[in-house]
Amino acid sequence: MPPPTAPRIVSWVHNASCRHLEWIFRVTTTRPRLVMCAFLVALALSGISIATIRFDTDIFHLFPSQQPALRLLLDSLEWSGSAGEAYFLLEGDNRALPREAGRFAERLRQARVDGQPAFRRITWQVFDENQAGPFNNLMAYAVAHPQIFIAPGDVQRFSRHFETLEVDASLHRLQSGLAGQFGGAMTGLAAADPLFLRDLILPRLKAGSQALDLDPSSPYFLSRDGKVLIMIAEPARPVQDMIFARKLVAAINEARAGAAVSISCAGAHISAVLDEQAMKSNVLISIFSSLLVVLGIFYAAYRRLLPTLLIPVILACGVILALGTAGLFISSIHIISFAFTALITGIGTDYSIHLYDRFHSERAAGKNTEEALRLALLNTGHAVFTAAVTTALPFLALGVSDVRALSELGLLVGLGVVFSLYASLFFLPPLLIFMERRYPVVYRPIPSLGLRGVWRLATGRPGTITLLTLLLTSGLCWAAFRTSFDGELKNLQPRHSEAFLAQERIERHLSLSPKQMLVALEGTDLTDVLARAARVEELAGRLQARGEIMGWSSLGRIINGPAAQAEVSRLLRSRFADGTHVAQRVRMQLERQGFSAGAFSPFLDSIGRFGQAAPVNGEEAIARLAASPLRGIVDHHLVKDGKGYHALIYLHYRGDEFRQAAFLAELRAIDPASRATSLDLVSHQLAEAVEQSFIRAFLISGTLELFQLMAHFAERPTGIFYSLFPVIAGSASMLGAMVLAGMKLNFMNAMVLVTILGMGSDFGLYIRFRVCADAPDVREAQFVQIGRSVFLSALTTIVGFGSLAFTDYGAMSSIGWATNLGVGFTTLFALVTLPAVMALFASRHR
Amino acid sequence: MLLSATVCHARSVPPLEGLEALRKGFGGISDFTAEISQEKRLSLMKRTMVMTGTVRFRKPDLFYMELNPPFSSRMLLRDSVIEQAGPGGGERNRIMLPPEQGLKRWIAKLADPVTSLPEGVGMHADLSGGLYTLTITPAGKGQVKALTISFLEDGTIRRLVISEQNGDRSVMTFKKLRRNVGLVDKDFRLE
Repeated sequence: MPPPTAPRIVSWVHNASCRHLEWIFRVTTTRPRLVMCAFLVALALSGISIATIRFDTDIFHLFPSQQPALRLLLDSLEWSGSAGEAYFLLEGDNRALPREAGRFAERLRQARVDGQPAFRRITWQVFDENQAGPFNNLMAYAVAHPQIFIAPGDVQRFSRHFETLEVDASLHRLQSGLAGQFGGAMTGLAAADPLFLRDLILPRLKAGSQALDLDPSSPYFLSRDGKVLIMIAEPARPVQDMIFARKLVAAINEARAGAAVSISCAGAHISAVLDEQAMKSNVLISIFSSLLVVLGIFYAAYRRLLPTLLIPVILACGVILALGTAGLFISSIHIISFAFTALITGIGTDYSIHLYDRFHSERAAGKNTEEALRLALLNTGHAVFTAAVTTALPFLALGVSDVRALSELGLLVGLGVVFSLYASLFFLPPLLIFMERRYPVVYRPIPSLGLRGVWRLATGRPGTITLLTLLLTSGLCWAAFRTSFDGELKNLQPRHSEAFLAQERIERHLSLSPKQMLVALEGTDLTDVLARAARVEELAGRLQARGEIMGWSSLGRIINGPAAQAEVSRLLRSRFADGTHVAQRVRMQLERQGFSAGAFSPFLDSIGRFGQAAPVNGEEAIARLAASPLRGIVDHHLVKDGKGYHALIYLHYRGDEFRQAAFLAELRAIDPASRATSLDLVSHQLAEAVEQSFIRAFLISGTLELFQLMAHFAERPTGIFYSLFPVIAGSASMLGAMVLAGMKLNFMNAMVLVTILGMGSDFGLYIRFRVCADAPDVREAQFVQIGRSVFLSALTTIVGFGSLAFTDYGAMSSIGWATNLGVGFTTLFALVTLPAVMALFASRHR
Repeated sequence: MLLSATVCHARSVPPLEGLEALRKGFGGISDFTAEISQEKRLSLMKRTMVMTGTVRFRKPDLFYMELNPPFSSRMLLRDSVIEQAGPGGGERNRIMLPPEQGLKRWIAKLADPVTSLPEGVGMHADLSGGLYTLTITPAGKGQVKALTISFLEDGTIRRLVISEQNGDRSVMTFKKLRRNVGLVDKDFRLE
């Protein structure tokens, strides 16, 4: 009877691995030149492939833009143009701020990039003399069309302004105002609105016009606490033009040099350039520092120069071939994903350590070169091969993630691991043969690094060690249940980046509320869009009344929608049925108080038309607003593009008191086509995407890894336990230690739970694979040899990831810390607990 | 002949000299109070408005004006922010001037000797019997067409005339001007 299918496949994979390694041994020892040529060709092809890759720097491209909340967030940034604006924060002596702001603004105006002005527009003060005329025009239009600008509840107050006594009082006030004015600043406004009807209109416009929490008494964009002055500038070219962005930042640095106050900047251009600089510097420091330490560890342990120098070659090959291969599947790679190739430094060195350690140990034990090489490549090499595959699989499994950051990281590191393995397998044997011929040496035993003592301790007191392990793991497991998730995207950014810190200060000093939700109502018919927006505005009003939100802003807060206009028009018609007579009376009152009534004719004519008031076309009202200094309000709340109109409503809230799920359900009931976004929603949807990616990658990599372990330990199934125990206990302990250290899981380090499975299972695998003799002294020698390799490998992995832990990037740093904890605990359980477990099993068998 | 010998004729002086005289005269003043009478000819009004009141000034950036009935109102200029209070302190109005037109900035300009005329303004100066008259005409299309200030050598302001592009014109005459009286913050409150 033939064996079942699964075991047959397992057996086939096992045999295929062995045959593959034998082929590598044969070809590297007999035809080294051919191997080198093949590698050079592969590197050249990779270079061509890399040249076609575009390196992306936009942080938002790291996340799945098909997520509804993120899609709307990106759309809104595009619509409002705020994605492309630069913000300058001036801080210091508040008496010096305006003067320094004026100087800085002038320098920015003079700034040039390639001979052209660097900025299209620079705004930093409320007043603009050129806007007085358009503002008066808007007021003239507003008082003539109260149905657009007066809330239905204010119609009574509006009509009271036209009563005889009120008119007299207003005209008296006007006279005093004109008498007391310095110059004639208010003459135009007085002619447009002599009865101060604007008292009913301006508060509404003002409430709707504020996007930042500014000091209303200051003529500048100054925070209420007077500490920060903000300047908003529009760069001449979009952020995607990185060459321009770099030159722009250089121009900004020149403009702010020597300023008497602190000037920091935020915005997409600055962020892209500074983040790119920070990232490059972080990556370079990480790579070179970890490489130096890794080489130092290798040389200190084995005292051989050429194998040490081979490591950078192996790692470079791994990275180049990984990038080249990735270029066949993807056209662009994000710079942050690329930064993670630094991990290959730590992981890719492991294979050289294991292979060389075995070779050296066998030579020191008296084996000749060929025998030592054969054992290193075919025996230890088999374990190395399985370990590399089990390490690469979880990373490659991340390739299925919807989150670009994770899929690219997985693909690049996974491929890097595979190519580093092959570079080690193909380069090391020819080099060792060359060394043996050219620089023969006497191989001495390698120091045990204390592992002999560890073995004796663990096997001498196996019960105690196992019990302590269980206690430690149980305690940390208990703590692990308190793991929490940090969904704040900003915590993943560079913590000391100027753009990040400036953005934080904007939020602290100038934000209207800590959080904001955006609701979009979209369609091709403006009247319909505004009517739908009005229904959402009613809902927002109820939320504010209930105290769930601090406030809200929309076009409907400034101008009336169709229904409100109809209501105001009806009330105006009933109250001003004799509008002509009212106008006549006001004219007489003006004359009586010494005014030249002719100067007020347009205003008086409009009173006569109140009796025929009717709703005004929304487009006309919006066009009037857009032609006034309040254009910003229109741009902020209504966008027209190729797809139609997008009415935007902003809800300002503090935190949990805003029951977002209930609001979204109510919103869907009112308007199923509406869209909503907030950083909370984006984080929530990203967390779901990451969770799905995590589960998918875990299942795929877990299954494949289990299969690979079964293939490797086809004849010794307990090896699967030995491989998995340290990593499972290590992962749980990692989570527990993170809780105790106050660290949280986030979108990036959550994936360590998947990748640690691959990296950590190697340690137990090596030990179980190598420590197989029956004689206790031989077992001890085997443990010392493989334990040393495992220890050095873990050390190089920790160095590789450790360099990330100290970077400024929250995303990279969190991965670095999580992995270091995971690898640290896994190494501890592999080197201390596994020998104890082995001893326990051995004593039972006896 | 005798008469012509005694009448003081206004003679033109270099604008720089007029400006420097203003600067020097103003240099010795830290604050002042004065009574004023003002005539305003506005396009919105049929007749010229005539009013009286008091003004107070303190370096570097405070100016207060209170008008008597029937146009009772108070105005406080604090650098570039104008606050106006109507009769009985009722409605408040706040106007923000362009920062570059702030009072502090102008006073600061008077701190150092004037060696050149400011850019973007036309200037004319007369001297008549110790009374300087300096006429400043800003270039461009701003609201103010011309500003004329008449003052004595010791910085005592006599008259201020503001002519606007739309034909409006205000003439403010200063009387009983007292210098360096030690004005304090409470003298510059609208409450």
